[in-house]
Amino acid sequence: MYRYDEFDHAFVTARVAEYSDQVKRRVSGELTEEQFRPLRLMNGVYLQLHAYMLRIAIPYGTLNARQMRRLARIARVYDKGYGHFTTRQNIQFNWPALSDTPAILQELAEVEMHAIQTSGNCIRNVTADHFAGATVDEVADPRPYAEILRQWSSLHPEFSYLPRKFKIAVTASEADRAAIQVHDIGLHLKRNAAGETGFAVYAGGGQGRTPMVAKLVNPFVAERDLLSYVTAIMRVYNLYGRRDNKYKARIKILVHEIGLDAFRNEVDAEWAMIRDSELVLPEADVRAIQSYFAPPMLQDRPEGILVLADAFQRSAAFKAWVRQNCDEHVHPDHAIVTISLKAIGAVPGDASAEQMDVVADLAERFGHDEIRVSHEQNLVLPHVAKADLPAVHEMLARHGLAESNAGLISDIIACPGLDYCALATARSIPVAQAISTRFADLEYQREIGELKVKISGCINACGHHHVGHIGILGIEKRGEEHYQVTLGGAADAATAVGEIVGPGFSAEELPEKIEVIVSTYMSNRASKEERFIDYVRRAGLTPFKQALYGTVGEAA
Amino acid sequence: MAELYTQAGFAADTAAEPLALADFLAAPGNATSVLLEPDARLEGLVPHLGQLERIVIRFPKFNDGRGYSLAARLRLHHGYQGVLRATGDVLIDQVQYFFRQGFDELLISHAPTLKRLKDNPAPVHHVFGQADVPGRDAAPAFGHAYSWRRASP
Repeated sequence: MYRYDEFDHAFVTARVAEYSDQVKRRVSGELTEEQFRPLRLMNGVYLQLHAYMLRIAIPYGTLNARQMRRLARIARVYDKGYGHFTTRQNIQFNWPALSDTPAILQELAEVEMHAIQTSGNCIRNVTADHFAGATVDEVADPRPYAEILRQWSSLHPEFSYLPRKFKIAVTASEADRAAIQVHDIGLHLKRNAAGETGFAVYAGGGQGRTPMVAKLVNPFVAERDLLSYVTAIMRVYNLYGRRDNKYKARIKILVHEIGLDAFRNEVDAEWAMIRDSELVLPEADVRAIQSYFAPPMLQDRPEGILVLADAFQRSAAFKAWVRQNCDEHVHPDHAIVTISLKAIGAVPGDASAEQMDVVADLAERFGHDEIRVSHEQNLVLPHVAKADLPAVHEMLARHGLAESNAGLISDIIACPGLDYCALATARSIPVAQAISTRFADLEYQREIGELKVKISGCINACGHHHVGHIGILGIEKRGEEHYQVTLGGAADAATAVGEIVGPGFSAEELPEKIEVIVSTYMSNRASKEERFIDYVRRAGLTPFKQALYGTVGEAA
Repeated sequence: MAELYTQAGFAADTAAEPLALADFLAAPGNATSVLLEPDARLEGLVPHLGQLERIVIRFPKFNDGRGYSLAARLRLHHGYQGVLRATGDVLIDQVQYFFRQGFDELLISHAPTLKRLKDNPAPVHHVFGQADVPGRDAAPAFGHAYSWRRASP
């Protein structure tokens, strides 16, 4: 993974000094809250319902054991002993004191981490496929490009006061585990017919109150042009994005209002002026960054197959976990392990300091010192020998981390909701817990198959409900929490925004209604191979409407 | 009372009042300075850049970043060599962004910012990840010399 050199150290050290000074000025009253706000936001400090929240960047979701242990330490020393992994591959601490935040940033700097641009109207943490560098289906590792974009976008003088926040995601796989089409810019790493590396560039995707699937702006931008092309998009957006209404300020609205052709023309005109500027990406620099991401030296461990066969016989639970939570690795003797942070009834994405230490230990002992955070709020050990899986599983199970539900109905994405968030209109976490508890039976979950449930506690859609196979949006209606259900959303290669199935439900009704939706699918699917999302695409919403709202006595 | 701050420190403001863009375009004459609002279109101005000694870009709010992109286009696309001045809601925490973006001078009204600049300068960054900004940056003397890296003096 990327390692800081002197340049990066100088950079984060200066940032900590600057931020410490800003906090001092805020505490002394020199800065008003309005003036302090964008400064703290650009350092990841939010004011939540009950306290400040600190969001720490985990660039493209990659970290090592030492960094994970430092996060555990921060959870213990400065917070209440846990942290929350987010849908942008970051971690949030919900209870730090404002006066402690400079010290936390200093602790992070010591392990080559920071909180720069995890909020504010700037370019946010660049995200990437959490299986990058390990999966069989990628063109190349997308993370070096995410790292280049991270360095380029940090404290960019021109793009620090954009109309609104700006999110970039990179994938190198047709399966698109990075959900690039719901990002402001989505980059799909490809090779053209001549074998050259470049990017299909999407822009204008996003969720929030106006969900939009990104448009393909350019089918192939060569590697050398990455920074100039992205700069061109940013400059057009910075100048012409709306600033009169924060709800219409994202780039998706600009693309929508002026139209894709006009937007593309603006970008191309800008690009023509800067394409051969200092922004050209020299091949040697790309290779130098790529060398940090060289795959670990994986040894052949052919005994893995026998070890697994033997362990399967002894433990059905282990077998279920391998089937559900382990994915194919580019080296056949290894596997990609998903560590579920979605134990039945738990808070999605939360991990205790102890659990973080356990994951750090496992990464060191069995995982070539690499950990990933997925946008589905789970952790990943990307390089584990199959022969070591029983030991890894045993340790995970001992610490409540071996739920075999990756991709199943209880692997729920949920925003913090009204339990923490000042913007929320309803709670998300208890709803996620109730649904997960309702479907606790793992065998039934497996029978249902892949089903992505995503829950947001307000229209800002941090829980990605628009792209959930089942999406749940909590709103406030006459003083009551009320939940609207959408079906058919997806954030993969076939990204789509879900459709509202009908009138919403109370928190009490919701788990039962979700069960009705699932039963409708189960009794109508063509076969087990037809996934929930496939069925919704084929059958539409009618069968679900009938089952949910059909009159009493009518055959469901 | 607004004061003028440059990379070399405070300086006397001897500049003439700039013309609003519309007034300038209506009768450029031999006017030598113009005031741009954040939504200014540069097309009409470009043929006259040679006669301008000073372009003033107004920042009605510190968090309206359009003026930075106007500055980028003036310097990078159109080769404008004259003085670039920022005016309006210019605060201490944006000072280094302005200088990096190619502004030469800042007309500052915000009292705490003025006091702060006089008492002790804000901590500033000296290393950056952008090679194309028009400020006076050079390749950094340490770390890997990636093309996008720059250091300010």
